Amino acid sequence: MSNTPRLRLCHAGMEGRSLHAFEIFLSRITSIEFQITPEDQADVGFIDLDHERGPQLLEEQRRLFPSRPLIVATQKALASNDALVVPLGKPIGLGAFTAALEQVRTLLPASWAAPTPLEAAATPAPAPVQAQPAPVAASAAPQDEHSLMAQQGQDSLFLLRQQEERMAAFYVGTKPDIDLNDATARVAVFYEPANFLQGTISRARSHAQEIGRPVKINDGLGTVLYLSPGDNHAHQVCSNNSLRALAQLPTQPSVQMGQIDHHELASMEDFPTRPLISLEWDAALWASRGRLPLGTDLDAPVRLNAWPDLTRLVIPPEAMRIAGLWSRQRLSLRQTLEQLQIPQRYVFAFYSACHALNLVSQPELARQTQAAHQHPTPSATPEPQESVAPQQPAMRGLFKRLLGKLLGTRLGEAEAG
Amino acid sequence: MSHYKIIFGGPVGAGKTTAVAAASDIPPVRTDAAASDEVRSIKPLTTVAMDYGLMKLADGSTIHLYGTPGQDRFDFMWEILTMGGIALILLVDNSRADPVKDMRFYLQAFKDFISRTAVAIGVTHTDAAPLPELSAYAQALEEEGMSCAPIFTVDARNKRDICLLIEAVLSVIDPLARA
Ligand SMILES: Nc1nc2c(ncn2[C@@H]2O[C@H](COP(=O)(O)OP(=O)(O)OP(=O)(O)O)[C@@H](O)[C@H]2O)c(=O)[nH]1
Ligand SMILES: [Mg+2]
Repeated sequence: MSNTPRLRLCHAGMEGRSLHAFEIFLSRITSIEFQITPEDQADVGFIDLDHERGPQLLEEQRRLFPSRPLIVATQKALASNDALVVPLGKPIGLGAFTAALEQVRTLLPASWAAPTPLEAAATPAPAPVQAQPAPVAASAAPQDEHSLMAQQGQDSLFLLRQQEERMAAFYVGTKPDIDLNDATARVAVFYEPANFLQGTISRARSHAQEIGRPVKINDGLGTVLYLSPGDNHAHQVCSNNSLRALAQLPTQPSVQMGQIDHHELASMEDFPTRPLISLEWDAALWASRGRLPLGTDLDAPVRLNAWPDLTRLVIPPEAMRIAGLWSRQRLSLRQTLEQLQIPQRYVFAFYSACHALNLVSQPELARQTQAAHQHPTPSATPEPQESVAPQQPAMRGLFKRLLGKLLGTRLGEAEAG
Repeated sequence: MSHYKIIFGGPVGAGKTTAVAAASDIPPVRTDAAASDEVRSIKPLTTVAMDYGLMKLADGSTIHLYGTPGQDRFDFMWEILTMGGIALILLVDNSRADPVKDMRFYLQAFKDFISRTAVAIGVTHTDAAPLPELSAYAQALEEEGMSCAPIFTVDARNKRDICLLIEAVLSVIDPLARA
């Protein structure tokens, strides 16, 4: 018996006959030790992309378990630049499947048998969920069709919220709220972006733009990223997993930017590419983990300079409502928390990510620090729309249902609303 | 039953008909006709009256989706179609000659409606034409005093993108509403 641990495999997109056939097929594979496990315990996922919900399942798995390698079987050619996707052509042969499992093993982090604390946080046991399922109406009268539908809507909404919460933990951590009036406790809600990969990336981008050439970022083991200022893209050498681990902890002296030579200029093109802006966004979320950049004032009004491109960036929890609120009114972070009644880490993480892309500012704070003793000057930019009267209850109810439905589409799940 | 409408506006070919179809729970009603004039060089079919789709909610209520025709000579429809609307989704085709100017034109054209409701902007066809970047639009929005309007890169054929635009515009109208 080898001392490599068993690979834990989960599957999606198979039911009935195809599942039965798949189980028989798997029972023939003997050269690799593996077992079928539930989705939340697996090291690797298997997806039948030709299933009617295949693409949706793939997207869902990617969102829920971004760092998990996936074996994706399909009849069609699979164009994926996702380094963690191992494509598998159909009909699937034993040899090809075994080879895919071998390949997957190389994609797993060195510590895959014993999840690190970071990993455990990434694919957690269900995190505490704020929303509770609505209590079932205790009415003896038979439910009409609409209230039955509404009940089903509530139930699936609850599941959606749970799913969103798990994703949230991956990007914004699980830091509990603190008493913001407690000066000692308050220290813990700030972080210094410059001391994280976020800062290194930001400095490297500026430098690359200055010299008009790509630069690289190395860690102790070699190059992890190439930043290409011309097309505003980054080439990612390391796995998403190690990138996240690197981005979450304060940077070691071994993390440095470096010049690249002609040889590297050509070879960097071989690595998967992503927009620089999404790299900076993710790095800020990971460094922040629900904290604020040092120097942020909890009581100075926040100006939303522009919305982040939320169709192309990771959407941190409650980002839409926070941005919506800041579009209407210039509120401080403290007021934002009071209005929305959501965890501090959601508001702080979103602020930090927007701050990294220059999408938010605290103009009044800047003025104060520039001229501490001068008379306050009127705001140079027009204020956002006045806050209007609260929506009529009828409209609020409709919005809630519509938002439930939209959340379902967003998370690629069955509709909730 | 209440009649809540979301309006899709923007220039010819931006993807209004496509977006209504992507978000609708019913096969959309289209009134596309063969383009007979200057539009034909852009696309063979164009919307002459409106597009219509529907989103069904769990309690049986519905949201109506209306796509406006993109050609200027049908702009008399715009005012009619926006009556009773709760929000505008403005789609702009990034591959046209001056898409930022297009955006300004439509923000102006729908000005009264937007001031009563809210707008979210989707920039389409960025796969074919990556420039201008979103920051150029943001700059123009800032100049129009509308830096707070949500603006996203979208593909009108992608349901998730269109639903995110709708979610954003709802968040601006009522940030306290939660799913
Ligand atoms: N490549 C690409 N095609 C798109 C995108 N969005 C929409 N389309 C396509 O663009 C074409 C035009 O879209 P329509 O929905 O007819 O545009 P419209 O705004 O309704 O146009 P009019 O009714 O003439 O004003 C369709 O073939 C769409 O599939 C996009 O982001 N990228
Ligand atoms: Mg049309």
